Amino acid sequence: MDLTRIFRLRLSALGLTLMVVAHPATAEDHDFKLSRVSHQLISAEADNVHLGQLLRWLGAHAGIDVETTAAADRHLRYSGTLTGTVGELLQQLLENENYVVMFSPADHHGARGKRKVARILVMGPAGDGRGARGAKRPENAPARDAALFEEDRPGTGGAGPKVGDLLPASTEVSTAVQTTKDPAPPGNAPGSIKAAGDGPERLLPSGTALSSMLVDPAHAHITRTVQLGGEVPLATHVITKTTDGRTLQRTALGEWVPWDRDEATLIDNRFTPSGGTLTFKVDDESLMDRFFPISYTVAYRTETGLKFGVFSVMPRQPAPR
Amino acid sequence: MGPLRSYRWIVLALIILLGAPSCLPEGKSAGSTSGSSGGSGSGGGPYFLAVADTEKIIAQAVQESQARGKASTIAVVDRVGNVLGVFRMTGADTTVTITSGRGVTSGLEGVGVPDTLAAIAKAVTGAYLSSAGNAFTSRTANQIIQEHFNPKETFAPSGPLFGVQFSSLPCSDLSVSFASGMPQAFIGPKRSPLGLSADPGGQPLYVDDDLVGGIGVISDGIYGLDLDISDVDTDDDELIAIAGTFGFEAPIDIRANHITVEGKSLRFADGSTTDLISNPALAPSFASLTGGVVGDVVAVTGYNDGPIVVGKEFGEADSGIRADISGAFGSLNAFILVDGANVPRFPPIAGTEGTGDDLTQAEVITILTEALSVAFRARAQIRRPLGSHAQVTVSVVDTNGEVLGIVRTPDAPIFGTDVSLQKARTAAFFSNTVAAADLNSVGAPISDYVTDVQAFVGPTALADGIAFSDRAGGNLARPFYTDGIDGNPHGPFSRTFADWSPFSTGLQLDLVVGNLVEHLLFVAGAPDDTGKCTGLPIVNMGTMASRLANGIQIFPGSVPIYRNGTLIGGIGVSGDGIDQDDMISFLGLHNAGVALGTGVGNAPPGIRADTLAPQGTLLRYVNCPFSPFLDTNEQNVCAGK
Repeated sequence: MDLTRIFRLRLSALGLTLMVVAHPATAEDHDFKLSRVSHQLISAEADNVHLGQLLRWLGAHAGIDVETTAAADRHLRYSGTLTGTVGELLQQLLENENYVVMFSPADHHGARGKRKVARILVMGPAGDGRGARGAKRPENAPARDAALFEEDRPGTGGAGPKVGDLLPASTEVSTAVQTTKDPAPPGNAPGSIKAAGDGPERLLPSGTALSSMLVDPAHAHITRTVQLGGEVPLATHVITKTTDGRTLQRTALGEWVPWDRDEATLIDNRFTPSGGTLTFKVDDESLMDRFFPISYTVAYRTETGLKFGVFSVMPRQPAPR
Repeated sequence: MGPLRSYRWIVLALIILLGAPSCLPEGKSAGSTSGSSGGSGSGGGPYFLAVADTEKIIAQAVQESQARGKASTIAVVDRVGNVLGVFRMTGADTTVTITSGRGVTSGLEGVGVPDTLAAIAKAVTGAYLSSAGNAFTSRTANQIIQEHFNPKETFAPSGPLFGVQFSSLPCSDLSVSFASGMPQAFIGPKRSPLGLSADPGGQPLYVDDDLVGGIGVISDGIYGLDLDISDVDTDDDELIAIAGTFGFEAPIDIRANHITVEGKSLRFADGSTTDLISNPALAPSFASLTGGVVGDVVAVTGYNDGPIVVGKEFGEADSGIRADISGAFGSLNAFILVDGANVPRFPPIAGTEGTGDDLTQAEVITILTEALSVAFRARAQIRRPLGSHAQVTVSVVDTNGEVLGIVRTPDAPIFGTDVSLQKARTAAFFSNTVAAADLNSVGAPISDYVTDVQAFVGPTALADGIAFSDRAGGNLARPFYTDGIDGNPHGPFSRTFADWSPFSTGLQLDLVVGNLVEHLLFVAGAPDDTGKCTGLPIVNMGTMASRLANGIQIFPGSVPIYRNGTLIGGIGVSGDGIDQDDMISFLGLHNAGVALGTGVGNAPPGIRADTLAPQGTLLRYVNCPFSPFLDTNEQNVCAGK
């Protein structure tokens, strides 16, 4: 089995997230160097470097914090010299990949007046040629996608891209698609894998949507680890809902009992932190008779109140025959 | 002229299946599962598609494809959306392109999607829009979702089901995901990978006048629609699908072309079996077609395992929809949703806000019962024979978007299940003072719609507690405001007309487009298929979801629910004409309020959206039909309530 790793890249300054994939055994055996050509232009020399590393490096150049997570990849390496703006380099790196871009073009209200890349999803290598009817294929991408990083503000005359303006929140680059077809991927808990990104996530007072999970429904051992950020939980809680609309909470003994949605009646599950993280034991039983997706809330109480996150679980499906 | 939005989002999508769904070994599917006593020809039911039926349907379609020199992908589903089989002919495009042909480049326009998903969406549309009283196709859908009804009829209002294409979405918390080997594997209603389709080539399938499923065909590389219905097309997808329906045809009397809406005949198909090149009766055996020379069945991640399976008999527990036996709805012939263990989904429960004004379980039951009672009395708009009562689904939610109850009449079209919930949530959401804040929290471009609506309607719009029915919100979601008036500016929830298409509607699509793309990735092999429909914030620990957990809907049929002037939820109705849906929600709630005497009812007239006149044109709240009931001659039944 090809064990792999996903790197989750977070552009903290821009709120931009890049998620790329590299092989764990070779993730660090890269060779590249960076130089600044001008105020806007940068140059990167790469020798057999994973695309993920390059994208991560580009993110770091724009002020990115990098988190690593687990998943799979097998093919993406890059050699050569890249010169241009960060946006142009991203475009060059992505042009042979199969990807989805969503962005908001010029707003006629004028408040923002520029294109905003909202999301990039890189799916992996291109397919095997144009369809018989000329349906769009990845190899057709560069020409059309050239506009991706061009500013569309009236009066700028198509001046060079400004990645700080062009790549706003929630952008994602993912190349995890192909390898996730592996029917028995590694997991962070027996019988389960995380769908995207396994760096411990943070809970928030307003709640946060945690990445979903696939489980073996016959032997589900669902755990969830979150970062505490230095906080000391005073109590920990796990909640779920049933098909018929009841809300249940987990007891410290692992039983499910009704919850009246009153925060005051939440039962402490007594999970203890370790190494700055907190692991919730969520469910440890056969889920064969459950109705999917199953939603869970994990929460802990601090002196300032509750913080929580929500995630969904689906049964892992056998590989297509 | 109102504010212009050149366009909000562009989706440039290059979708490819990384490793196309694998084909099965020769002959593996054929005859692997046969219908028991049912299936076609059983006479007197039970009615469902046996494996041999689906094989026959596919073989007939393949034969017509070959006669037309086309390589098709063909999907067959049962009435509740279970994918019974997908057959890809050798040489068929594995990626097809979404386009309206309007030259629009935003929204989903230009996105490449797997052929299998296009075929499934078309098949689902044929099944979901139809019933024992009406047979609609994806061509019918095409007619009723465009900017005018009929399309290209200038200065005519938009299609009555404007926006229905974005329902039964993959992310819906109501629609069921296929889960191989699990009890829910064949529980409906199933999701549709692309929502409902307006691309001709989706047809319903009938056995002995009972709806048993749908067929969808894609052969032309385009997942589009027909902008001009004034002519008669020769559409390969549609004719191939018609060949597939041979022996499973919709009863002639209930076909769309025998049904009128606003005095206009609906369209069923631009062809018939007489237009076929091949003779379906002489179709080869299915077994002779498999193995790869002609084509083979394929597995579609998230929808089927590959081998052809038997369809579920609608109305039995294992279809996910059965008669209610709880007695909660009195003597009414109510049907409910159940899970794989025959446990009711969405039984009546109390509201979850914990404010003291929450709807009680008894109140929810009364509202559902009263709405159903109106439906059983209502003269149907879209059903045959004339004089039939309406068939609808009714959903009630609280202000958190939590489902407090869903119930339906026996033969309500399946599409209305998800749509009724969308409508209920949309009314409750847009009437909530947190609506603007929730939308703003998502950021651009969603927050831009808040800016626009506040510029258009007033600076406190979506934050001031004005009661929005779906009809009122829909007024603001049309590419012309006032609806249908060519040359007028667009509503603030819509794109400009130049940038609008059924694949690029505005707020409705932008809320869910990210999830749609995620779903395409999932089908291509990514593991994550449980994303939330919208990026709206989670309401609280208990709801575990946003207030809009299955997207929004923008055609009429819902109103918010109040208790003594305080918003406490929403009721949504779908399945018949939009005026009937309006009446059943509005009058059902009113009657419940009278029966309950607890202060529950419709919004006080003074805070309804029809008190607003943005740009000088009053919004509408509800519109109830003429001569609405079968058992009385009452008129103006909603007036003064």
